[in-house]
Formats: sequence, structure tokens, C-alpha cells
Amino acid sequence: MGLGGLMSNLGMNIFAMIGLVVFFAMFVAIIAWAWSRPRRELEYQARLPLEEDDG
Amino acid sequence: MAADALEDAKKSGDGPGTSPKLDQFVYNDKIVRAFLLVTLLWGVVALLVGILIALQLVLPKLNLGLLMTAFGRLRPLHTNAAIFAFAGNAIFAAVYHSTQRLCKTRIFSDALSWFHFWGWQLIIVAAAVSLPLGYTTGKEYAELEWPIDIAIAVVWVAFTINFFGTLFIRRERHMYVTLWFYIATIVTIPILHIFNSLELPAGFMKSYPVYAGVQDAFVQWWYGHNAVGFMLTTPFLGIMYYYLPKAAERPVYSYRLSIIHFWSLVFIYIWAGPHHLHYTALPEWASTLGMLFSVMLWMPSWGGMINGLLTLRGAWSKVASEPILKFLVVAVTFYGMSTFEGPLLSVKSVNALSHYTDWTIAHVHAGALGWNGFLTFGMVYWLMPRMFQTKLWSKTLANAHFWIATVGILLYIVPIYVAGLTQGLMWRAIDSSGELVHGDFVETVMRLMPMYWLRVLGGLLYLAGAVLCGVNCFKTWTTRPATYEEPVQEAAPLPRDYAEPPKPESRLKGMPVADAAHRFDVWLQGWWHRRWERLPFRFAVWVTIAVVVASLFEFIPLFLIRSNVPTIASVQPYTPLELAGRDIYLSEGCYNCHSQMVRPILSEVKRYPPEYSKPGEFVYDHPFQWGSRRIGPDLHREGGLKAPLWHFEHFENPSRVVQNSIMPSYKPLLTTDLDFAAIPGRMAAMKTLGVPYTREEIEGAYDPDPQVDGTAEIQAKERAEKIGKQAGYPELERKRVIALIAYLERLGVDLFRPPPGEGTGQMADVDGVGDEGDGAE
Repeated sequence: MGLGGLMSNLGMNIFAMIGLVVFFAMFVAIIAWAWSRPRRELEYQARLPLEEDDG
Repeated sequence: MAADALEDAKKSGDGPGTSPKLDQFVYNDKIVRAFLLVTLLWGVVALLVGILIALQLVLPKLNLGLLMTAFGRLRPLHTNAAIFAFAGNAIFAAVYHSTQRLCKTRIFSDALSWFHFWGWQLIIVAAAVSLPLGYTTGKEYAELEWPIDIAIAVVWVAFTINFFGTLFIRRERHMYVTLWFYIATIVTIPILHIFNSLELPAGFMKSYPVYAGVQDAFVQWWYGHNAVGFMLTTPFLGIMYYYLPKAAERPVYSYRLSIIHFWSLVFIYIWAGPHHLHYTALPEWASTLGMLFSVMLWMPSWGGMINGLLTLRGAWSKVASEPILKFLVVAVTFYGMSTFEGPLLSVKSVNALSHYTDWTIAHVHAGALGWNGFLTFGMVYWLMPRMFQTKLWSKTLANAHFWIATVGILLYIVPIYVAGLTQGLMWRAIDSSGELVHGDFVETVMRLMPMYWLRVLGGLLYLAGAVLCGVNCFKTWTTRPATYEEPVQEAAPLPRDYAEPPKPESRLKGMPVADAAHRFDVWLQGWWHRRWERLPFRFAVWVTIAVVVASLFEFIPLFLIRSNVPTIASVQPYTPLELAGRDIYLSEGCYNCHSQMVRPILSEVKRYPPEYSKPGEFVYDHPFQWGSRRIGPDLHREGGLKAPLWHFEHFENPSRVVQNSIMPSYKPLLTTDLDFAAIPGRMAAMKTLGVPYTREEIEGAYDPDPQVDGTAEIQAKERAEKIGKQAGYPELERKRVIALIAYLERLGVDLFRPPPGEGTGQMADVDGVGDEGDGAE
């Protein structure tokens, strides 16, 4: 049985489920990481465009 | 000077009290000025073409009876001009301006900058010439033929090198969020472009995609939706994150939120493409996945909107007096509206009503005119005085532009929303006896005319605003100094021996937890992402991985799994003449008005009987032509419905055959000769792509000996005889219209033919169908 046949037998739902789980895990990880960053550092980064004189 | 760079300079060995050495450099603003000017020029062109095609729908005579000026050829000109010429040049103006300043360095290469500029303008001119001439791939937003596709890739490579080169020589260690959005754009666009444009040339300006039918539809809308995502969303979010704080003189509301919504957006957007194909022959699992991720996409999109609007906290009073802020605020508001509406339209039950209607057009234009257009104009008004080193000629004119254009947008989208809902509801209305209430398609078109006239008015107002901007720009430019100053900038170089800060310690130290918990807490503190933000190449790699992984989740099953596209034994390749006719269908852009996809919805099957479209019917369609609009009726079951003479007279003068039809006349097809000699080459290309033509069929399609007829010529003569001498056109059997009629007569009939070698005329059995395989609800 080739790869195509094997995947045909597995059915499609599994890909949807895996994708959703991967995405959700990523999303949780990103939120957790973003919330743990020091505020002072973020404030400095946010002000970068304003350091320059207009022009 | 950035505190970070100063800190770095101190770490590089200079002792206390010693000033760090400063580099001196000058920004390249000439390239910014160039991109700014062409943005305005192409913006006006795109709007003019848009108004022309809007007028053609209410005054079909404006098609002028010429193929070059027909709606089907001009609409792609409008979409390409709006997306790649107007929005594209605006993006480049912003990238070249803001990247230099965020990196505190001159652009990496002036030569590459000008190559990029002139290359892109030449591509636009090539598009403007080739599309009206009928050179098109027949795929939306990817109509440009293969030589221009190659040029796009080459120019984009130059742009990529220039941009990343600038990042590598930057003097600000941290990459501001704007640069992340630019990175996402610059790495994703070539992936989309290259994979969607995989095509086999069949002539100098003719090609066929390597994909067919269902797979082609999937790839096309993976590209199409992500062209919206990564050409019209991410770079414009980058623009928002730079120019809104600059104009408001306020830092972005939440840098933390910008990180979250950036990564969420980049990962989720890629999955959303199938929402363009609900209830079509695309496998149902793909459609559901696209819907799910499209709804999730609402969150990161609104993250951007919230961040943008709340950046103005404490500065709202400025909005009343500053036209620039008015444009930017309304742009972000339209972004919020469109990114709520988009997920709504992605819900299958809503999409069942909205698909093919003008609701989609209203949605597109709310985004394009409101978000992209207004953000561009806000940026242009902010940049103009700075780039021309003078004052803006007239703030009053800028305010007038804002109000006129805002009314214009509303006059465009509100009537077209009404039009879309009207269409959708009229198409699906069924009476108590189970029959269609509005069986006559043209009746539904006529009902929309007042809305289409209002749309023209809205478009004219928006164009008027753009013209005011052009006048303001020109007058500002006339007051520029004789020679532009090139202020010398100073910034400390990043020390080469930058010492990475040590990994943070676990905050759980001293607590009775496993080692894994300590490591996870260290990871949570995000030292690794801070490294990424200093390492543009690694950052770009992770963006690419996010985009590619998301794509593969949909690509792999669709391409590897046999049951996704069940074959139908009776479906056969097009005959030589039908293939030639299909090429004419493509070059005339018929898909801009007509769909070829009967959805498994009761009212639709009643209107286009007897069966909804099956995936296996499209296996030889390179490219697919399912369409996304129904300005005219669906054609997938057109085969066998009408006599060849009906089609002939209809192409000659549609409104004489169908009262109130707004279809343009295609009389030139009745008088121009078909290129029979090209047919074998086209069939050979199809054979390379897997269509099972035999060598005999290909060689027999055309014979150069004028005394001998090839298969195509024989088929053409048979059809011309059916049309008969009533037609009054000499040598009809040699004309292009005969091929096009042959193609239309073939549409949708194979499903009801017996497979080769079998006798009955019952509907063919479909092989290998699973519940998830045939796209049916």
C-alpha cells in the first residue's frame, strides 16, 4: 500500500484534529511567553519609532 | 540614539565617561519619493478602470464591442492595478522609508532599490498591456502569464536581498514590530506566488497550471486568500505600527499584544483559503478546516485593530484637527469591520447565501478602499511634506479628500451589500410548490441596477478624493527646495562582539518541582524570542516554518489522498476543438462573470439541473474555472441546453437573444480566425500535465496540408453546418466562436454519458467516494 493509500484509509478528520491541537498549543505558548516579558523592555521597544526626528 | 545601542557601545570596551564612536550616514529618500509618486499614479489608474467596469455593468455599450475593452478582460486589470500597482507601490514606499529609520542605516543597496523600482513598474506596464490583449492564466489575482511571473520572482528576490541586507547592517539591535510584519510579507509572498504559479508554458504568453480541478481550486484560493493576508494585511499592519504612532506621537498601546497577534495572524491566515470554496466540489473536511481557522482569525485581526485604536489614547483630540489621523483611524476601523465580516462570511451557512453574490464584492471593497486605501493616503499625507521637505500645500484639501472619500466608500459598499443580499435571497427563493420564484436569472440582474448606479457614484467620489490628493501632492512638490537636503544621521554601530545576556534563572528556584518545570519556566521568560528579535534571518526562518507547516496540513491530504477526488469513468478529456474553445473562454475572462460550480443546495440544483457538480468532473481542467461571481448564470450544466445557433446569436448580440442582458457583444469572435495550428502544441502540454491524450490524437488534431482536415477542423465544420447558412458569416468553420461554442456544449455532460465502451445513458458511477470525499452536504 502506497502512502496515498495509507492516508486514504486513515481518513481526513485526523488532520483537522492535529492541526487544531498544534495551533491551540502554539497560541497558549505565545500568550504565556508574551505575558512573562518584563514591562520595561516592552516599553522601550514600543517607543522605537518615536526616537527618530520626523523625516 | 537608542539606549540599547548606547549600552552595546559601552559594552564593546569603551570605558566609563567615553563617548561611543558614531557612524554617520544618510538615508536614501529618493527611492521613497519615487515609490510615493507612482503609488498615487497607479492608484488613480486602478480607480479609473474600476469606475469603467462598474459603468459597463449598467451601460453594457461601454464594452464598445471590442474584446480589448470587454469587462472580462478589464476586470483583472482593475484588480491587479489595485493590489499590485497601488497597494504594492505603497508598501514599498513605506518599507524603504520606515526600515531605514528603524534600522538606523541607509538601505543596503541603492542599485537594488532602483532595480526593484523600475522592475516593478515594468511588470505593471506588462500587466496593463497583456491583460487587455487576452493573455491571462484565468486564475484570479494570478492572471499574469509566465514570463511576467518570472519577472515578479526576480524583482522580489532583489527586494528581499535589499531588505534583509538592510537588517543585517542595522544599528538598532531590536527589530521593531513593523519589521516583523515586513519579514512575514517578504518571505510568504514568494512561497504563495511560486507554488500557485507552477505552470507549464505552452507558448510565449500561454501556460497551463500543473494542478487541475479540485487541487487547482485549493491552491488558487490558498494563494488568493493569502495574497489578501500577506499583501494587503501584514505589510499594512507594519505601516500602521509605524505611521500611526508617528502621526499621533504616541507609542503603540501594547507591544505585548502586537507579539501575540503577529504570530497568531501569521499561523492562522494560511489555513483560511478554503473558505472561498464552501459547498463546492472541494472536499468537505478542507472546507470545514478553512471555516474554523477563518473564525479563529478574528482574534489576531482584532488584536491589531485594538492596538491601533488604543494607540490614540490621550490623542483623540488631535483626530478632529488632523486629516492624517482621520485617515489612519478610519482605516483601522474599516480593518476591524472587514476582519469581523470576513470570519462571518466564512461560516458555511452564511456563505451559502453570500457566495457568488455582490456581498463578497462589498466586503473586498470595504477592506480595499477603507483599510488599504485610507491607510495609504494617511501615510502619503504624512510622508509628502517630509519627503519633499516643505509644508503640505493644503490641509483643507486633505480634509476635503477625507470626507469625500468616506462618503464615497459608504455609497459604494452599502448599495453593494444590498445588492449581494438581494441576489442571494432571490436566487434561493422557492415557492410553496417547490419551484424557483425567480427562475429567470436576468430578472435578478435587473433588480440590482439601481444599486450598481449608486456604486458608480461612490466610486466617482472616491476617485475625486484621490485626485484631490494628487493635486495636493503636486502643489506640495512644486514648493520643494531646489536641492533636497540630505541630513547626516548619527548612530553607534552594533558591536560585533555583542555578548548575549545570560539565560534567566528559574523563578521556581527553591520549590519542590521537577527539572522539567524549571526548564519550562526559564523558557516562558522568552529569552529565546528576544534573541530572534535580534536575529532577522532566524526570525524569517521561523515565520517561514509557521507558514509552510500550516500550508502542508492542507496540501498533503489533498494531494495524496485518492478519495479526495473520486474519478468518474465517463469523464473524458476535451476534444481538440473544445480545448481551443476553453482557451478562448480563459482569454476572454468569462470566469469574471460566470461560475462553473453547481453547489449541492436545493435552489441551485433546481436552477441548474439535474445534478450538483462532482469533483471528478474537473480532473482535466487546467486551470479550474469554478469562478467566484455570478453576474451571469452558472455554466457548468450548460452543455446540451441550447442549440449552437442560440450560442452563436448570443455571442453576436446577447441583449437581442436575452432581453435585458448586460453581457457584452463578442462579435469579433465571429470574424477572427481560430489558430488551428496551435492546437497540437496545447494538447501536448496538457498531455505532459497528465491529460491522457494519445500521440495520434495530438498529431491528428491539425494537418498543415490545406487539403486535409485535422480533427479540430472536422469538428469545426460539423458545428458550422449545424449553425447553418442563417448566420451570414463567411467561413464560419474557421472562426473562434465555433471553438467556444464547442466548449460550452461540452460543459457538464460527461457525468451523464456512459463510460467509454458501455451502453446506457444513466448517470455515471463515481469511484471511491467516501462521506468526506465528494464535497456534498
